[in-house]
Amino acid sequence: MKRTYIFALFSLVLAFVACTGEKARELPTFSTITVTPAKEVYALGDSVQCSITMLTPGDASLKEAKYWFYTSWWGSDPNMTADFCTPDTVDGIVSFTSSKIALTKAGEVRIYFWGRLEYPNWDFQPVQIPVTIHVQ
Amino acid sequence: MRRKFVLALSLMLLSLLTVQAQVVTLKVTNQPIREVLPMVEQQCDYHFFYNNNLTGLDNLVTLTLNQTPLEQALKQLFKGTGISYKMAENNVIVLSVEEKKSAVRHITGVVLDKKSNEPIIGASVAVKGTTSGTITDLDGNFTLEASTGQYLQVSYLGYETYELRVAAGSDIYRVMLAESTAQLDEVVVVGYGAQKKVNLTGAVSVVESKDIVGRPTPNMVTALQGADPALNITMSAGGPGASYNFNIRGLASINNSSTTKPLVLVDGVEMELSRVNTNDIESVSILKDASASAIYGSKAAAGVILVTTKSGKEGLAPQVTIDAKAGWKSPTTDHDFITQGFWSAYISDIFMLQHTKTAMTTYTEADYAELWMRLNDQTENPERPWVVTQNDGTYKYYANFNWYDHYYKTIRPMQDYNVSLKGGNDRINYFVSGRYYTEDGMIRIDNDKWHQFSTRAKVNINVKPWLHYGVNFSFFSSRYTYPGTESSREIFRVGSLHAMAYIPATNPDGSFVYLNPWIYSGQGTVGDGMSALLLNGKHKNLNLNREMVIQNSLTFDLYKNLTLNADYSFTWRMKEISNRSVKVPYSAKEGTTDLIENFRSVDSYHQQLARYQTHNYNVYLRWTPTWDKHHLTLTAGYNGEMYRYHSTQATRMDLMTEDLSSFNFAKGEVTELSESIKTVATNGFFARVNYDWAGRYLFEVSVRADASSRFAPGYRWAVTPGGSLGWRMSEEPFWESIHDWWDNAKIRFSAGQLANQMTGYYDYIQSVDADGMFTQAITLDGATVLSYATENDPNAGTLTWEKMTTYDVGLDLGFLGNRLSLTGDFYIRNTEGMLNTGTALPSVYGATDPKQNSANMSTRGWELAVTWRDKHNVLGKDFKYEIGGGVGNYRTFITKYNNPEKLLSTYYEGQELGELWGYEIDGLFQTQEEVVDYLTKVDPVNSMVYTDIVGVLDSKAPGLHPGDVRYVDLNGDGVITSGNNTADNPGDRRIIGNTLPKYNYNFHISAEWYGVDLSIHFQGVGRRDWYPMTEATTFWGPYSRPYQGFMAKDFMTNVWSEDNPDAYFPRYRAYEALGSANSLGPANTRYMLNVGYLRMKNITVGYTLPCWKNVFSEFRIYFSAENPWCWSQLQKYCRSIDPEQAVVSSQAITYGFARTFTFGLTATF
Repeated sequence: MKRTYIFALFSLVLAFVACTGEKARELPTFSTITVTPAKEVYALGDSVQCSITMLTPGDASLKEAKYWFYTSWWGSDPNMTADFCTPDTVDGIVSFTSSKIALTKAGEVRIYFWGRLEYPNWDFQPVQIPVTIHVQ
Repeated sequence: MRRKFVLALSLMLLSLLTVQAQVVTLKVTNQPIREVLPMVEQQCDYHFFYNNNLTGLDNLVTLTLNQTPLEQALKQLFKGTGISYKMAENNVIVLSVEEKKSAVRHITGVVLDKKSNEPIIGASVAVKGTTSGTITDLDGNFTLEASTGQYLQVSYLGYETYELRVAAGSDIYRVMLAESTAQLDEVVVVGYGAQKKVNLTGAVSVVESKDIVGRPTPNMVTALQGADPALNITMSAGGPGASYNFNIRGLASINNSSTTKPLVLVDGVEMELSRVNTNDIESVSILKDASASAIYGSKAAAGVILVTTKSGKEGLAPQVTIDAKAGWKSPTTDHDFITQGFWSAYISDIFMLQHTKTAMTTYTEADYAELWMRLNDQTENPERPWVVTQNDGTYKYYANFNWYDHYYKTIRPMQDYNVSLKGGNDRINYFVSGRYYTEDGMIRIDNDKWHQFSTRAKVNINVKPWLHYGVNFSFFSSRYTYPGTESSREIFRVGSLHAMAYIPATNPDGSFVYLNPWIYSGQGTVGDGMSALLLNGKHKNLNLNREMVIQNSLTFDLYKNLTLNADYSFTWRMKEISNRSVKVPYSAKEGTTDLIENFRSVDSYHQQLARYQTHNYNVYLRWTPTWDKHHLTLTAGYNGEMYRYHSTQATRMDLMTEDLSSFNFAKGEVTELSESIKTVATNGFFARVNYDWAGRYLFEVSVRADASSRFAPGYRWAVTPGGSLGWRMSEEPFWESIHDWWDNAKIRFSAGQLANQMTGYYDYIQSVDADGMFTQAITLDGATVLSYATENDPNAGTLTWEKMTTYDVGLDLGFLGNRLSLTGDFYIRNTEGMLNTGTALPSVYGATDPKQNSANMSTRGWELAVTWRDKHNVLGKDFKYEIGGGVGNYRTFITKYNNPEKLLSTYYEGQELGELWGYEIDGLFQTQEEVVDYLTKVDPVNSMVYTDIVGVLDSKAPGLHPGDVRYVDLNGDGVITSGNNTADNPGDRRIIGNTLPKYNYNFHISAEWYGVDLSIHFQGVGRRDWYPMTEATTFWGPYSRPYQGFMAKDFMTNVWSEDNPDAYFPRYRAYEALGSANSLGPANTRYMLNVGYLRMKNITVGYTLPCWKNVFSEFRIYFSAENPWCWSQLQKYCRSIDPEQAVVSSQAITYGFARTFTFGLTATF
């Protein structure tokens, strides 16, 4: 009796979830950021270039996407703005590459890959992938 | 340990010796013990402590004591009374009744109706003072256990409660219950007297004090809201001291709807309802029809509300009641607005881009990236500051700023303290009360505060057996201090404009944000300067109101049943307003400070002082002879009133300091110095005859003649008669057979006329304005500007009273021992001679056509109220409960108006008051094909259809598109127009709704058991149509102004797009709702909303503690909430506007309505 009851309850919950649960939107996935040249420690004034690869494209209903690279020290600098990048597709592999980024801030700093993905009905989803480097 | 024991023993001996040492000497003969006790107290150091109702205190004793020790004296004093005593600490002697233990006995009995000898089923039989009890069975029998000497209490609704003592040797009882005459004797206060409720022939409803006393409301207005379906109360705002509009059975006149209010008389003196302390109220009578109100004459045109305050009572020992409550207020609406800078900028830009090709923010993609990266930063992340100083020093904003929280508090404390004292004997009775109420306002910066104090002192003295004197004094004082501009409403109107979440209120250096090149290209003024102004903290405002009423009355008992009443009351009111404003600084660039240049940022001081004085006199005779079954009441008298208003106001600029506000510091231009004086005098004579035969056939007739100085000599007098008839069928012999279940049946009819004098003070006189000043170009000496006087348009000297004639048919029924009662009324009210522009004169006349008494209207309505009240014995205690409700509706039509063309811009004959004309909308276009098809049938010649704001031809997407509203070509002429704006040719419009409240209703539930009480009041409006107009910005959001900051977080889910075709709002486009020329501007069926609502007006749960009975006759703790819950269809589309707020104005911009939660206690001793 007890098992029947638990089974019935479980079925009800399952049915409820199946009816009301919204399917989570599938977002694109990305690799980690590759910093070129690769160094353990960078010197102040060095320049680097970052790249990242899209692993899966996500939901096909994507209307528009914007991607850019950004650093942790640009936020208060009025001269530095988002480094927008466009996807580069080679042999079906989609990758994004930043402009040359001058390292002007010492210490543990972060470089981000950001994305703003626009899906129907004003559903905007973020992409934020950071990498931390050491600058002396 | 031993030392402590010795010490304690010593103390005990000492106290014993002290008692022994006290002696009493006195001699009394046949004196109540109650009066002997103080004599004993005077001779020793002891005080008696006892319950005033203690049995035996009134026993007469004869004693002779001579140096008798106290204990011995007490034994003698209480001998045979059953009173025992106990010496307590602090020299207190506690008196109580001796408990006699006796064997429990089985008591049986039967409860019968004294009149019919029929058994009473379900009567409660309880052993007094215990929890033991039972109810009678189908034959009226009962059985319970009680001891000899205990009392049985037998009760049943509709019957007098009966008590009997269990006597030794008697175990069987027969109890005869007599019908209660309480309900039959219930007296209702009516004009210049009181009447038995059952004998009323006019439409009068009574609000009981228990329904309003103790409610956590600052005043009586909100407590009365929903008390009766005929009473329509609309608050102008939700803030402290907000004004209100109210009427009984709808508007009495189309003129001066705000001043043609019901007459509110508090103990016979006209007062502001909002200044009456609810805790002082004994009862409220609402006189709804003309026959009931006619005796009040000229001021009673819109009905009368009679408020009777509490009084002392003969034989009542001094009784103090303290009521204290404290709690908090919070908004009745949702304020979950967008606080993410990205979304505030994005939405305003996409809306604006569809309006013109220019975005609102002028932010670039890089700026949007900055906003996006800060999307979830609720506080500033050091990596991503909200304000970035540009190379030129200007500030660029990327904030997630919560502007609502910046301006407003969502939780604000309130406190309410009441104390009263009442008592009396055969010569004098008194009631004195005081109240202090305070609440914090919702403006967060430089918080606004409301303080209110009131007191009342009411004394009645029987000077001689034939002369009674009464004095009734009341004083009210309120003080409201608030920041910002003179009109506190301004913050709600402009505070959110350009206050977008991406803009913070302050710059990094603490300077205030106002204008900035990065905000709408330097044109956006954040909050119209309101935020900077508040942060600056130098704008100060004070509203002070004081009111004092003194009433002296004399009643002469001239002869048997003949009294002469004379009273004089003086009312003094004072209003003081002062407003200080200064120039407000802001910064757009690092290191610089500028001053805001608008009318709110000026260095000035304004003060207004207004005084109101009213002298009121009443003299009337009242004769109430009775012979056999004939009862007659004759009332006749005189009422006079003189009113004077005097106001002075001045404004001067440029004060020497920003911190002190006085004209003494002002050195600049005097921009205003004016004075206003108005006086009115009225005289009235009245007479009324009430007659009933055996309480069966009821008759009343009254007449009043009034003269008002508002009219020209020859047109000043108005005679207003009223009469009513009633038949209490239930008193007829033929009713006997059903009287046991149908107790009361009365049918009544009334007719009467009232006159309204609420025209202007001097409308019949052609006035001259002497305050004209020529411009500087017109001078005689080249320097001194000339002044001039202008003669106003001529007036019609024949102006006279508007007259209202009311017919009312009513039915009062009572069933099942009057447990079920029902009252219904149907009425017609015709208002004739309303002031209106009279017959059009030839254009050569050269002035505005004068007003005449030329318009009529008619109101028809009904009301119904049902109440069920009963009590049962549950677990030995009475469970009392009551369920009731009422509903009413009315419709008003214009029956005469000088508008033969039936222009819709004013009233017209046949118009229903409140009717709303609008277009019909058949959904939204979903495809381009639908648009093309529509355009083949309808020529888009006007901007509404074109969805293009007037004068802007450069929009990104002009013309009709999918997502736009589809106007229906109702008249089939191929164009969407308003015709010639007449009722006969309204174009494609029709009557789509009505803005007046329909089906006012209320219902309540209350219950009481075991000291726990619960009451719940609901109130609502069945239907009321509202079209959100131009500035209803929290409803329309960016459809009105794309820079409106308060927008619901889920707003975009209601906006049409190809992905969201079933959305409520059309495609996004700025300014579409701003102005009647745009697609959403004119009223239409799609966006007209029913703002009818159901509101839980109050819920109170209390518990009367059974302890401390020796100290308190009542000690109750309670929780009370006002407006805790509301449902309205409006909430489906907009949760930030309260339905009552919506009807205040079509723009719904007011101080927010609040719900109140309080905890309190009431103690009576």
